[in-house]
Amino acid sequence: MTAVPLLDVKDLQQRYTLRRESLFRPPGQVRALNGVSVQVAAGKSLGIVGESGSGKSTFARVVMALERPTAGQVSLLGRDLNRISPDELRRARRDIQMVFQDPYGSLDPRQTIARIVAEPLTVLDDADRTTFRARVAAVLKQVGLREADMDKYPHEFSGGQRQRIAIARALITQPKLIVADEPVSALDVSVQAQVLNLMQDLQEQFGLSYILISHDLAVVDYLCDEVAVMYLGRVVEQGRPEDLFERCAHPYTRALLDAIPRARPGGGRRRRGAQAIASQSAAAAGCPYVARCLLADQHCREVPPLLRRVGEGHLAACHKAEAVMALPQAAVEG
Amino acid sequence: MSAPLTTSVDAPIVPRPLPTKTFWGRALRHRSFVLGGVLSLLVVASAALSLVWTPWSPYEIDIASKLRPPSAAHWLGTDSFGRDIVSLLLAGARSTILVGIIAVSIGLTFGVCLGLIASAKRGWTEEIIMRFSDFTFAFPAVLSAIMLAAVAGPGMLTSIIAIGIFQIPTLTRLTRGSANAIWAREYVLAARASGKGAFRITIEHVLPNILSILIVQATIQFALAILAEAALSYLGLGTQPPQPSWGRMLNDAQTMLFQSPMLAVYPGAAIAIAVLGLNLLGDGLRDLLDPRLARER
Amino acid sequence: MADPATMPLIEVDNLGVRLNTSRGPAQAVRGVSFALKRGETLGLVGESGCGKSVTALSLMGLLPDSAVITGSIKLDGRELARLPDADYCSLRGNRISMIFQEPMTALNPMHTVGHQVAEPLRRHKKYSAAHARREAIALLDRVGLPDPARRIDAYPHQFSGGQRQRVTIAMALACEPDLLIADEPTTALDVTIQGQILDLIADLVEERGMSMILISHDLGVIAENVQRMMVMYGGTVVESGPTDEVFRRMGHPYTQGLFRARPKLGARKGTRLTTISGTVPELADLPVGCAFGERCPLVEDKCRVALPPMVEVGPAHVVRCVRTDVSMAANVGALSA
Repeated sequence: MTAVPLLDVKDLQQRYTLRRESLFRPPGQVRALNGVSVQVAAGKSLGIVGESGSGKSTFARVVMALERPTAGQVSLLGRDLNRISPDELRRARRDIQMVFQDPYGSLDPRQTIARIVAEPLTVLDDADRTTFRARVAAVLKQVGLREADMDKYPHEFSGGQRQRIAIARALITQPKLIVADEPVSALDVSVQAQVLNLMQDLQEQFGLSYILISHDLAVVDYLCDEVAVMYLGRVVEQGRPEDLFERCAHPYTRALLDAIPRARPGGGRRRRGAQAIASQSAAAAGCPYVARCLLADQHCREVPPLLRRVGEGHLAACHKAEAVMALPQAAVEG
Repeated sequence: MSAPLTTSVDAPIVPRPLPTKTFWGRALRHRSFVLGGVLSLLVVASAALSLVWTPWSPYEIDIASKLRPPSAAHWLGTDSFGRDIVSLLLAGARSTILVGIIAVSIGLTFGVCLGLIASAKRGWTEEIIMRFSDFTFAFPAVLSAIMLAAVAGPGMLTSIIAIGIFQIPTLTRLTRGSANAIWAREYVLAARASGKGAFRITIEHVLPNILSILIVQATIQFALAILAEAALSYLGLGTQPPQPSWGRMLNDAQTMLFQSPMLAVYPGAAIAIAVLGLNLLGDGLRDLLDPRLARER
Repeated sequence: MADPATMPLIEVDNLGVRLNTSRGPAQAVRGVSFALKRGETLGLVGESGCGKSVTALSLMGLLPDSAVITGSIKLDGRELARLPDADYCSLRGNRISMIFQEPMTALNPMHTVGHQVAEPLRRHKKYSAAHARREAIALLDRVGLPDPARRIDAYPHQFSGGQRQRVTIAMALACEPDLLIADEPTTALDVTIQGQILDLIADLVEERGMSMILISHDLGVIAENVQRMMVMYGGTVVESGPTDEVFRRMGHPYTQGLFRARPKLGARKGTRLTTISGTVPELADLPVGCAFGERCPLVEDKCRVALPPMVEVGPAHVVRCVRTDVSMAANVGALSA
């Protein structure tokens, strides 16, 4: 059976024009997204991993229809979010909500928790205002807060509690998909675990899907069914976490895995090769990762690799994927 | 191996009661807020008092008793027309406050609206509004008042409008700048993600969050309006006789500067007190409304 | 004087810091003691508000004037606590240097990086402008900034985050300090850059025989980069010892909780993270007894009465807990993993 996927992103491109520096030269361009295609099935979660400049936050904003992409389409349950009318888009937002990184910046300091959490309801036409408080109370309970917290203000809560409030706001319309942009990276480790467990519980309870954007591979591994690794606006590797982290096929994924400091005795320091930093604006002919890659050869410099199948549900954009997979894999923490 | 890391601990601290964190609790301990409040209230009280009572009529000319020194009857003496100085000061406060309130209201209404629109729309709208505001800003209040007076004739209304227009660009810029900072916040992004339009975001998120900045600036603008009113009246472009005003009193005193210099000192001091009071009040409000200091509501 | 090789470079004894916060006075650091010899590295690990950064700032003499410091901080036997600021200025950047979390705020945007690296050399070592510039180029080259002779006249905003952190490292190293304090030096950086910066710091520490205090919230960073470590919570040290020893057998319920709560690569979907209940306490209202008491699974009445004493549980490995018999039996650490 091939049902319509919950979210279908096709060949998404986003270019930003930089401020013109000279009257006589065309203004520079940043290619934040360079043809990204992913699908999310209902109830499944997709992790997006990458470093700063990989385009992962741009991806989140375009999927949320907060920005119009230069090209490509984002379809939620078969509706192209950039083609439908503003009214339809507003209704479609019921199904797709967002959780932000900064638990301090994402809640309006001058509004009560009840108002903040009810915000997504206020834009829906059929919402009955008299039921708002009851619905807020219910959703606060689901994220582990108390009904009495409704009339407090954000500054009365700790970072972890604020992130719970942000999750409650995303849950209140009973969405099918929540886009979470680095939801735990601003939290203390002990609180991080609580929020991650909560996100997992909510997924089981409501059959939610997540798009989880993170720089932390372990966080993505813990919460997602599929992972896409982004580098300079492209997906360079995609697959199930166990494939990606145990049989990685792209040298960049490999570099990310190697870079994670391991909390164990006798670890000592593992040496890492010096790596050049690639630029987003340079549109080179070959593989975008070539400057940092230890395996690169002339072919890599000339022909850009396409995303291709390297295993069951496992894609990689590397000419030498098989060679990378054959390397002894980085030890995984138990 | 080095010596083991040892630690010991001093006596546990007994938590002290937290200081009062209510707005008034903090406000009453803020020195410049209290001083500014007292001075501003003094001016308002004088204006209010003049509505019901003044020792003498501020309009009554009595040339026979002109330029009297302070006495039991005339506490601060009389001016060159024999009017009672205290009565003039009290009644002058009235026109000062009237001009200030109306002019600042004009400035706030237009300035805040334009600033919010510029910030919400961005692009060409913002560009046009800001260039227009630069253009207006280039004209001093006195110049616009002279131009207005040339068309509509001098008077209190003319000076109110001139001062009000002069307030608009400052407030437009301030509003746009602070609103832009709010638009960049994640909670605004969250509001957009839930489908709210620019108008609702402006009303529900942007305006409440810049309100404290605007209140502070309004007190400063009030002080500037008082100065501008005095300057216009002094030039004869503002409040017209016999309506008393501090600026007019200065104007009248000018010719008598060598015979009785105190005539200029009284209205000067009144202006200084009002301006100082409002500035201190604004400073105090800025500290008190700072959310970093007001953690507890 | 004792032999400098065995005498501690820095000796902190019963350090206490009381700060005025918006919520009232807070004992941000209580009874912290440690000694560090030349060439040794020490890690401070803990969550926000545990007192690790305040400890570092008190070593640098950079606490606000309203802070009250008790106890002693000795550098080569010389007392630093309550030293006048003017005297501290001759130590900062000269004998003790610090690297901060956010390189963009640690650099002055209005000056070239060359000027900023050369400044401590001119001030402390009285180098001429030309000499300091040559030295600055050499330093920038050493920290791996590409093409330093040309880039020396560039401004901070013209560099990437990792390169900026390299510049601040060059600044910190300019006068060859004896002690380097690195406060979350890689938290603002990407993982792959983090590795490079930590490698660079480790190389420099080794090369110049400096001592280093590395502050991090990340147990992995601590495990890989320091010889000894102290875990801080609520302003006190709750566990300290040689890094390998601590990671082999964690003694304090908090250290164990922190270790277990980390999402680990390979912990697949469906597994659950072991959490520590509750949240980090505010320093202004810490409980009387063990600071971790309210969140501890092993808490007993005696924990709440007074701050527990340090208990030795292994060679140079001490734990501030009265229930180590139970906590150590759980055998949390790499041996159990």
